[in-house]
Amino acid sequence: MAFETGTATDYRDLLERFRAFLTKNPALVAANQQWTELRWISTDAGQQLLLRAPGLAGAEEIYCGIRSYSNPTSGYYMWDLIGSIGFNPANGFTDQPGALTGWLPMMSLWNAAMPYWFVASGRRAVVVTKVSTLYEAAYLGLILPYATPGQYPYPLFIGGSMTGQRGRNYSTTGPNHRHFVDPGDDGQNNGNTAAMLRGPSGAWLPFQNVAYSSGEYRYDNARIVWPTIYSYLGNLREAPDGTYVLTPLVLTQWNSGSDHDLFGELDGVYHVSGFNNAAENLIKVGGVDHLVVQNVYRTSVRDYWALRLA
Amino acid sequence: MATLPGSLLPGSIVQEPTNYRRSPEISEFERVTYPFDARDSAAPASGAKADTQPVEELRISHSGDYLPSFVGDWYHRIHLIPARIDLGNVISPVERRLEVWNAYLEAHTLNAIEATATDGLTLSGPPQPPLDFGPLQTRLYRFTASSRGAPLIDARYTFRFASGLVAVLPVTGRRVVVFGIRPNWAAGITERLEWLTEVLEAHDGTEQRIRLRQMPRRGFEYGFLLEGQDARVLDHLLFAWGGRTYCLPVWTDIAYLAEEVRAGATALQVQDAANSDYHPGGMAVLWRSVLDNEAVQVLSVAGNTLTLNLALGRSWPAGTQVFPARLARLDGQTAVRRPTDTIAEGRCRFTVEDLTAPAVSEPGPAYQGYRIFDWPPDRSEDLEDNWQRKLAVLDHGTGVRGYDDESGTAQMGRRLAWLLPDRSQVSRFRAWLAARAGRANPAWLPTFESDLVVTRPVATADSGLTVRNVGYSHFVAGHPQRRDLVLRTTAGVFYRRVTGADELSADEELISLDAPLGVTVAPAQFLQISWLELARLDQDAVELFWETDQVARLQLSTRTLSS
Repeated sequence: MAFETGTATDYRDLLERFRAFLTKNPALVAANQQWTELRWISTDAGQQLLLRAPGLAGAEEIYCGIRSYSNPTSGYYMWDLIGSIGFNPANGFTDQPGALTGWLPMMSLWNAAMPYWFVASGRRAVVVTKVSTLYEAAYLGLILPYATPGQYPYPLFIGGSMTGQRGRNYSTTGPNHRHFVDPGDDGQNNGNTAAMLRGPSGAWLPFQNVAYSSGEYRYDNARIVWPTIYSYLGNLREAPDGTYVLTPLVLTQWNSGSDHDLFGELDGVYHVSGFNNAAENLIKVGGVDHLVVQNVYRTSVRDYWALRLA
Repeated sequence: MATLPGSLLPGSIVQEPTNYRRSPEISEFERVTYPFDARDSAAPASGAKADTQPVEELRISHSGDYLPSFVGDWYHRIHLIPARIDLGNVISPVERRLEVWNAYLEAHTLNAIEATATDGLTLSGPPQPPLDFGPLQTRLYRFTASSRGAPLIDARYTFRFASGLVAVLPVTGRRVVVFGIRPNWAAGITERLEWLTEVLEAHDGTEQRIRLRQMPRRGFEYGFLLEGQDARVLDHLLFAWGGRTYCLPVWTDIAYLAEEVRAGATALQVQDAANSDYHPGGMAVLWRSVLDNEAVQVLSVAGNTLTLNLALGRSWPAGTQVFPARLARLDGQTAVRRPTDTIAEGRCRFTVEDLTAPAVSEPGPAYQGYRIFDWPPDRSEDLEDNWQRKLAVLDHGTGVRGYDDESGTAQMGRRLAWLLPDRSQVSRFRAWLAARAGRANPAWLPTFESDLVVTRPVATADSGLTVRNVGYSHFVAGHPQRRDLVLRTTAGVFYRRVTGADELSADEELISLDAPLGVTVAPAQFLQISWLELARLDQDAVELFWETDQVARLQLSTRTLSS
């Protein structure tokens, strides 16, 4: 729907730009899909932004939030990402009604210049930003559920790049530092992940592809993201005519070997082969550019995804 | 570009020990003497960082394609949910919810809803078109079908969008009218159950039976006597709906409302539901008069409580009659006599359309692979036996006639009648009839006659009976069709097979049994000894004649098989 790219001077500037983008971007305003700012607090200690998205038809209320904070001594500059089902002005950032609990999906940023790409519609917003030579990403808002609005009215997905507390620095390597498109856990609490979906029952469901203990893909996990879980994805190349296949990212629940539930797919976010490909390449599908993003610091063939820049 | 100050930490003097593995030529170090020359140590050196961030990437453009996924099934189309509405039998106003979902990620405008053949149907809810559907917006419509309107519902609603998109909703169903003409019990009600069996008889009289119908056909026939307003209603009921399906109360299974049931209630309390024709998904009729009645659909039956799938449209006072109901069609001509200008008297015959499988159960002890049906018949009318032979007569007209007894045995046909005094007995008998499935399945049937008379006491271990000589050993002697006995005594009922017979004297013969009775029985204790015959019904159609709503009669003809 709306797309903006630029360079922020630091993690605080990035949030201010994101806030301005969601609430004032001309394309969003023209489509009547601009987000409403419910709370904006900016102090030396950090910033807090709570938002309400209107949905595509303006008939929905989608609640998301971001807060920034830093610890210069330990050298980390963070965004925390949250989603809820409502907004109460009296409540704090993590106490909003139906809010995501536990360790929130995070983005580990820095206090220096960062190129960024913002994409948003009335349903969801995606942030990609480049810290040094690695990439951080966030997804806030609804997925496209495989259900009618009546069957699954609030498929809110909060995705980030980092989870738990096994190192917060952007340079942390490990399964706790993975994008929501191919999420991992931090090994301390099985629920910690940077990919959380509000399920049809109203419970927050974690999605994890990679175990912290072994750093390996875990096929026994209850909820996984397809196709990034797939073993042979590293063998995937472009098509014989040179075009790249963009595969939808499907949130999946594994009940048994023959019984899987599919919740739906991420909106405008696809897996793409990294073969002969690199971050920030652009893939054109039907006249629309898709930004190729690598999973944080990972550059193997399987670790790339694409973001529709529209 | 930002320039940040930086510094290098001072290092310490490197003083390596003598290393004997090095060649002497290069391991000759010069001794460092104190004080150091400033050049001998690395002093802290400061430097400046030229920040190259952010790094520009080399960007290459590729072209790509999306991999199709379920998203194509769900999105980028207009959904009508449900995609079609089958109203089934509309016996009372029906309401359904219709969801129209614009599953496009862009807005579409609904220009018109075109409807055809919508007699008695209404679609309401959202405002009239033109109506904007935002991206992924869903709107709920209320769809109602009233019980008045065309008998056959075959409507189409076409949702036309400005962009040329079209979504079509077909609606099908039937309307049902209650045939509320109650029977004249003076002549009772006849209920007919018809199975169908193909019997292939071999030359030797054995046969193969093939059941051709899974469920018996069912029909009702009854007379009515109407006067005044009711007679006039009958006229128009026959005039308008004669070729269609009526909702026919099963008049025999009557129940009464013990207390008032108010509008909006979804449950009814009836009596004796277990022995009535209620079934989940079936119908029931609340009846007060020919015109004042209501059909309802039964969702489930638990004990004597019927749960309805729709709330009652109005209140019904205590004493209202409740009947189970079937969809039925008038069969053949309906003759109505008119003794006066306001009286109508006639008979109507119905065939049931919504058949359900009858309950099957076979009481009675098992014996030699089949069950014994031990239900004495009613002798208010004479029972009748008839004896047939499969006898071929070879007559050339000129000489002596030749005869060929093809099977070599007699076929015994019997006509038996029963009087079933209450509904539970009727249910049991019905279940037994269902187990027979017309001519298909045989059972052991006693002759219900006193066939043998015991002359001497039978001891515990005796494996024989001494009986008055009836010529059994002489004529029959353990023939397969006549060798099983039911012995009714004051000490119990025994079923035994005859293994042999000997004539003891002109007055007595000895019948050997396959097992002793196990008790001592004196001759006077024998109440009745009847032959057991393996028999099947000799008719596929059975008529239950209901004298009242409790008492039914029926008559069966049976025929023996070789066991």
